[in-house]
Amino acid sequence: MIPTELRGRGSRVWFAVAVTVAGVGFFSAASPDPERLPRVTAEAAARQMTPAGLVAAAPVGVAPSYTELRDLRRGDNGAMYSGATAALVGAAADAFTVLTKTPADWTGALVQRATRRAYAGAPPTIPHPIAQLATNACLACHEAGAIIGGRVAPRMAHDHYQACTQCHVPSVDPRPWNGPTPGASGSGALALNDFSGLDTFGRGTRAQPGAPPTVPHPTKMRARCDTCHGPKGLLGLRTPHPYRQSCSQCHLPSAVLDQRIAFRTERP
Amino acid sequence: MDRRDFLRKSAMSAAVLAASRGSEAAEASKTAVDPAVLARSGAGVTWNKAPCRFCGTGCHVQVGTHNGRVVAVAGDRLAPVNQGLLCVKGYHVGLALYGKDRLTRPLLRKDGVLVPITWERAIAVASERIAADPKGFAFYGSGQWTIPEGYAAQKLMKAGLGSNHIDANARLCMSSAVTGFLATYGVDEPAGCYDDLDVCDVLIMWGNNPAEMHPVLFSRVVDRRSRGDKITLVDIATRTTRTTGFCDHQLLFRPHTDLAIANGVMNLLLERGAYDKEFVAKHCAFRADSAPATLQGQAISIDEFRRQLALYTPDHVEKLSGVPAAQIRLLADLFGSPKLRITSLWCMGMNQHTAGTAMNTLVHGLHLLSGHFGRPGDAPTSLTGQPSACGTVREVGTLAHGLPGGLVIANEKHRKEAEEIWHVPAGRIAAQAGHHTIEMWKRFSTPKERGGDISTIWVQVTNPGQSLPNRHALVDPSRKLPGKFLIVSDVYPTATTAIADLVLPSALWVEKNGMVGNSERRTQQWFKMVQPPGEARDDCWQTIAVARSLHDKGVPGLKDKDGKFLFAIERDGKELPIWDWKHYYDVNVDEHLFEEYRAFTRFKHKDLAPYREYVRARGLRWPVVQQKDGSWRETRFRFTKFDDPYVRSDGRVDFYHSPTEDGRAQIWFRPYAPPPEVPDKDFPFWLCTGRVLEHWHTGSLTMRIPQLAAAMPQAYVEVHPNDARVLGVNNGDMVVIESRRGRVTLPAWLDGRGAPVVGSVFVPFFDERVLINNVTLDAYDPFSKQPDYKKCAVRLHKAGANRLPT
Repeated sequence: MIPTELRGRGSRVWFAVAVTVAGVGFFSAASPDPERLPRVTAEAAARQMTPAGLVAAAPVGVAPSYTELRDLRRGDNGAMYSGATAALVGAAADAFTVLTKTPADWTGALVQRATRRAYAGAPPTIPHPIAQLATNACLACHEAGAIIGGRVAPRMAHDHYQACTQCHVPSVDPRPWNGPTPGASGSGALALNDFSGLDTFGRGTRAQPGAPPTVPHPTKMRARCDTCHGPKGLLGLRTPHPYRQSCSQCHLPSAVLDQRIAFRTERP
Repeated sequence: MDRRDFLRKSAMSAAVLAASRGSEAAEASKTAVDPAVLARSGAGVTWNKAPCRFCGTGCHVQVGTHNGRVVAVAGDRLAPVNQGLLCVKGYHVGLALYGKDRLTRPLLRKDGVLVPITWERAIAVASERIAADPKGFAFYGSGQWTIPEGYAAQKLMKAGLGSNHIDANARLCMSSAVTGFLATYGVDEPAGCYDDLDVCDVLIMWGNNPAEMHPVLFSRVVDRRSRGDKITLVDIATRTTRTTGFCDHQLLFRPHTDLAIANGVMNLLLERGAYDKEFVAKHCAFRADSAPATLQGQAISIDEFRRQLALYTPDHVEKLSGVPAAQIRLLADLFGSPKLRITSLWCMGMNQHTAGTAMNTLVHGLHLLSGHFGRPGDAPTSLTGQPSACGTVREVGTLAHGLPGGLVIANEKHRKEAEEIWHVPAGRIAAQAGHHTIEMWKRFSTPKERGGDISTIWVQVTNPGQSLPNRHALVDPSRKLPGKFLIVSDVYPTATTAIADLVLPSALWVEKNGMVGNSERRTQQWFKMVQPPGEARDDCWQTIAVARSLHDKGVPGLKDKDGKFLFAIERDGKELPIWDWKHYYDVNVDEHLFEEYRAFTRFKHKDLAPYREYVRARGLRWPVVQQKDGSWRETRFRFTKFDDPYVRSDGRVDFYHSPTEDGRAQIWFRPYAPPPEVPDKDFPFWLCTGRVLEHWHTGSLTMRIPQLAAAMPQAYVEVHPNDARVLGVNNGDMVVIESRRGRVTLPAWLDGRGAPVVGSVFVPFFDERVLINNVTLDAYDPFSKQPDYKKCAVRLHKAGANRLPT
């Protein structure tokens, strides 16, 4: 946050930030309601606090950032993370790259999505182990989305929800021991299922060639189109114009799928 | 592309997608196919509403069907309960229909083996057993019964056979909540509703883990934080769970001492004068146990109440419960703040408790004493674990002592009213309550000559072979006794069908019409959308077909006063043969049964609207009262002047079914007493059992859903790392858990889903390969007869190792 914005402006700024942090900490402790704390700018904090001698007497150094710490590592594994940051940042594709897609790319994208969904519209399962008791660790990668070593950690397509594991469960055995568990035999019938899920909501319709297609799927839980259709999405689903910001300007969602008109409730 | 080519490619793409579901390996396969030939595009899908099949939250789902099969599920955005959101079980509920081993034919045990028979034979076998000994026949049902299913079984037993031996598995999950409501308000079910969750400032969870068990309700609260709301969450618990992670405070208490905590808070409120004096003076009275103990107890004065409570000082409560006195004071600070809106939630932690009734009345009492009652956000609300524990078991009264609409067997006037509605001769309903669940199974497992008067049990929509406590004593002996016959209606092979004499294959969820009632008094309806597999048929039809067979045999009681069949439905003066499966859906049997049942709902102000109103709605909360313009209005906040049309006085609230008949609710004094079994030298650990997010009840549905089974494949025992070190146990090591009643072997998980405290272990009960209920205790609450699955004493040792020193 503040350090990122101010980094590189020299030690004077870092000093101010350190003072701000100290100041905020001081006010938090002293104030009965930290949420009502007036905003204190770094400069103002520096002006207020320095004469009081709270930190001025202390020798001031520049605290390295986590990124810098990583780069400063020594020893045999010192280079362990070299390039990792670049992989994360560099992966964001150029919004102006012209895409070449074939119909097979679309099918391929659906096939890949189906590996983690019981049907089109099901919440995807998690392809990696998770901490069983942790609740918000998911945000580290999925809040903004990332590409790590060629694997995409998609940006959450929805927000407002606090309990990730309410809907998303691991697709891999979550238990920390390997191999078949004794006593698990005799369970042949369990987990065998004939369900055949909806493969896709299909493609949007166009009024005429060249017209923008409609949105073929419900938009609940899909508030952020760029999760699937943005530059980090699967090739077959990516928009050819990611630089456009307002998707619903041209692509209309279905009132039926979004339940904006009443569903029929009479006997089918 | 020619037609053959098209078909070939079409089949291929479907096959590729089918093969790729759930398989990471298939990620690599990128077969080129024409997208236009992908099977079942969205356009062909028909969507319809249904409540979710699983817990008591009562979410509505949109069910997508195509070619007679469920192909997709979506959260229903028009449903007030879940507002478009579901949990992982709800999203996968459609898969519950399609486990490969669905039961599709009736099976009869011959020479120890279950062999297929026809439906005609199956109905005849069942009715012969019942006709031979009608008073020795018991019906064991479920909070998963739909309302019409439960009503039909209830009517067959009480109006037909004149027997009250009908009980339901809800006895094991919420009967202490029922007795708690009755003892406090004189009438069952919560006054508040889920709307409280949207406005409360403080949410207190008493032995409750809603992040896993009622995830949609929990997220309804915690997601408010995303919108900037400040809510204080308090976890009063015996172990750390996913819920704890969201909480501002955790009060970790020794099992069973929750009574001391509630008493400690009430004592502080009185001592500080921080209780709601006006509310208490106008609307409350005080009560304590009588001798002998009854559900009504005896009246005491506030001074007597104060004197008895005085023992529970913060320091004394700390000594009993292990909860620091400062945290007891913190709870008292919250309850002592009139400006805060406080909602309490509880479920099995307080109900599966040998002092469950007492604990329930204490939490109601705490809310009444502090005045945190009867305003939106101020409510003591019990949750249920089954989709119709409220709708079917509590409201239809499918319990050994109950009649529909909150009427009771013990009351002669109530029996008379029921006989009138059922149009049967006076005196048809037996005056003596039947056997409650534990008693029923105990007698089924006892020889007739030694008092085992139950010879046949018909189980519908539940799995007692896995869910009853102390199975060795309650279930297994019956399987070796001559003359004991077990009939089981179910959808999959279970631990109960495995030991049954007659197995009847049932329709499931949207394979039939249905109605259910959730935890907030909301009655919900759905229509049949797909055909059941093979010869599987509705449970309600099974009951009516057996009733008709009994009628045809001339068994007394199957006819009403006019000589008509008890379940007769007429059209143009002619009786429709609904007992014949071919004609069962010629008419909406659900609607007929429901309209008859509605007459019962007027007595205790639990008014239900006509069936058609529920077709239109995503559920309505009773009492549903007709307005002058003919419309039907639901009630959100019962007993409150501002919302409940039955409130008589001008005060803020009116408890119009008060046990003292003066409009007052009862605040109980309930002392803490130690539980019946506590860890000792031989059995040094507490055992707690329960559920996990992915699995529902005995797992007969969820263990057949690949996504859920993969995420939680097997039961385990949670052990604290310090205990594990002493036991020499590591992650994945097999451990033997042993009580005075039985033993199981299962793997240990030290840093798993929950974190137990030292000296206690937790085992989920969903796994039929690990029957933890061979170990649990069958001691029960004296009023509700609900057993305590949450605590008993066990010992642990590493499998294969000698018993370790304790």
